[in-house]
Amino acid sequence: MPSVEGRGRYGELFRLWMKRSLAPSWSLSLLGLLALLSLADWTPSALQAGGLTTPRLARGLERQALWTIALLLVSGWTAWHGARVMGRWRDGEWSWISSRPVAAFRVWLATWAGASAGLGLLLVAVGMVVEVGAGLGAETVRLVATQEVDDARLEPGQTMEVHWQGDTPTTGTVRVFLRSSPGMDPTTDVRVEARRGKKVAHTEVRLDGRRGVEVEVPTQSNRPLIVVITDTGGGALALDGSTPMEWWRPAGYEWFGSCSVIWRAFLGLSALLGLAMGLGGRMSAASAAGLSACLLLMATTGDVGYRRPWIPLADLPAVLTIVGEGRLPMSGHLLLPLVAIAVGASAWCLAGRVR
Amino acid sequence: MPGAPALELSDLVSCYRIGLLQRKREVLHGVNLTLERGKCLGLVGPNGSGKSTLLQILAGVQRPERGVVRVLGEDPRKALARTRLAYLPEDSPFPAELSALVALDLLGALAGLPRKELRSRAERLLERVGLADQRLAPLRTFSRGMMRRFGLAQAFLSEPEVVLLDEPTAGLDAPGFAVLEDLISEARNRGASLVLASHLPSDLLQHCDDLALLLNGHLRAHGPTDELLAIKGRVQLELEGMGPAPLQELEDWVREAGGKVRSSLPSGRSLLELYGQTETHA
Repeated sequence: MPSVEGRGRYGELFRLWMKRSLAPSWSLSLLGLLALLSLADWTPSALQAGGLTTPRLARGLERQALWTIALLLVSGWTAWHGARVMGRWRDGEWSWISSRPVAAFRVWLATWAGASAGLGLLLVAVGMVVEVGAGLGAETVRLVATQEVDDARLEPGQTMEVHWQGDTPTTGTVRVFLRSSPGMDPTTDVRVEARRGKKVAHTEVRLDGRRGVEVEVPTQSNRPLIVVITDTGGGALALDGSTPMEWWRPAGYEWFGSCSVIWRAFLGLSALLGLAMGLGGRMSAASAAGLSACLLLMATTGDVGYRRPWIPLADLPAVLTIVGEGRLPMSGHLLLPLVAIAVGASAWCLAGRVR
Repeated sequence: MPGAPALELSDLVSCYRIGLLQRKREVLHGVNLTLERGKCLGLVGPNGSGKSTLLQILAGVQRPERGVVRVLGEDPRKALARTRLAYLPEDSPFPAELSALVALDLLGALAGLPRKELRSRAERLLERVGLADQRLAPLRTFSRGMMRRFGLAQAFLSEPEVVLLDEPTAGLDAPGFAVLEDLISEARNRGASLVLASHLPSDLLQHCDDLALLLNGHLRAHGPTDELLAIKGRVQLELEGMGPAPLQELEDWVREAGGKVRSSLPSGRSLLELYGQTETHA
């Protein structure tokens, strides 16, 4: 005799949608394409010609390129896959689902969770292809903390100080982004110092355009960190406030970068999937997929990632850039899983009634 | 609810929403219908008369606009009521990528069948509907008739008390038809109530105690099948073992007695009998 409390009732539905997310025609094509692309050299010729490339940078650039292509394809497919769920239900699947003693919301959750789990497995498979292509790599540094800085302009000979707020970096490096101001002399020299009490470390570089300048954090001191920037060249320079000041510390291996991308993409794309499912209840699959893709673009463009890291997918472009340098991004925002679950589950309200 | 009729519909109105402005279009107009437990109702009417909509409402798939719907005394929108009913949709929209066995696992699990029982029941039913050899084949490789057989297997998987079958004979071949009749008879023997919707009333008439005729969403006739379909003063005889001469004599006698012979055709063999004979020869 069937019962309302039957255990494992939604497990089969979960498995069905997981399987649908891993449809062989789609997933094998994607993995095959990435395997082919991993054979190419992704280091820009300008870097190669200037002798600026290192094995770590080359591996990072390959990771960045392959992940960018993979995520563009997977995002589009996710929006379409999610938007089609309600269409499938309307086209008849709802008749065999809802004539069973099931709760509609749990059906939604099982469908969303199953499709998300399939997506997660696909991302893991993509990560494996990317790492086989890039090579796992050596030990590297991880971004520990960032601090917002204001745009500022320095004329030749001028100095400015930036005080690190919050937890003081005790080891590793600090990076600030500077750019030479276009003018009579588009290049200039800069000296960046990291001071902790009497301990000072410094670096001097020539600026030609925008670049991050990194300086060691003095150890064996418990004093606050002050970063001092001096324009020692003949042209002006600017502190670029669009990217915060960063604290890097040795931690982990380069391939951890792919793990970070997988985790963030999984949470973000799960939320996107739920959103597309919800919108699919109100409009055609094509419109729902299009609208979801627009929302995805809004979340990932501009500097949203640094300012609102709790928005799913928002910091992914920044994370890809960091992975492209052969470094590791910060751990994902603590709220990110909660926000992804909340979006996916609450999209049920958006979907409305199937019939 | 013990003692409640199998089905009870009162002033049932159903609408579809169409177009950008979601205008309502009424497809069922105040349907009143009752079916006692253990009976079989034939729901007949031309295409577009509202049979499938009515069945979807009874199965809890669709919400009615107005009116009262009770299945075994419960609202079919409640999960509890749906543990006791089974529904065969018209278009067999089952997950095409799954094998027949795995699809039955899914459908049985959603019905709340215990996992231990489910696999053995699924195997048994697939055997019964003649799909045992194809149990591991994906449903997308099934023909229309095979898909219908699969639909029957899923409908009878949980031994439901109320069975709702929408166009159950569509696409079925003669052996499939026999399987369907067998499943219906068995369900009736264990006291289940059935609703068979079809636009071809002749299909399953012999199983129906009651008949309901839907025309353009209106219930135009409802009552015992014999009463609705019988033509007063007309009977149908099937004779065996008579040659042409005695048959002619019988016809003459009927005419002399004031009767009228309306048709006299040789009885045909059923397709199932023909298949059996052909297999024996082969």
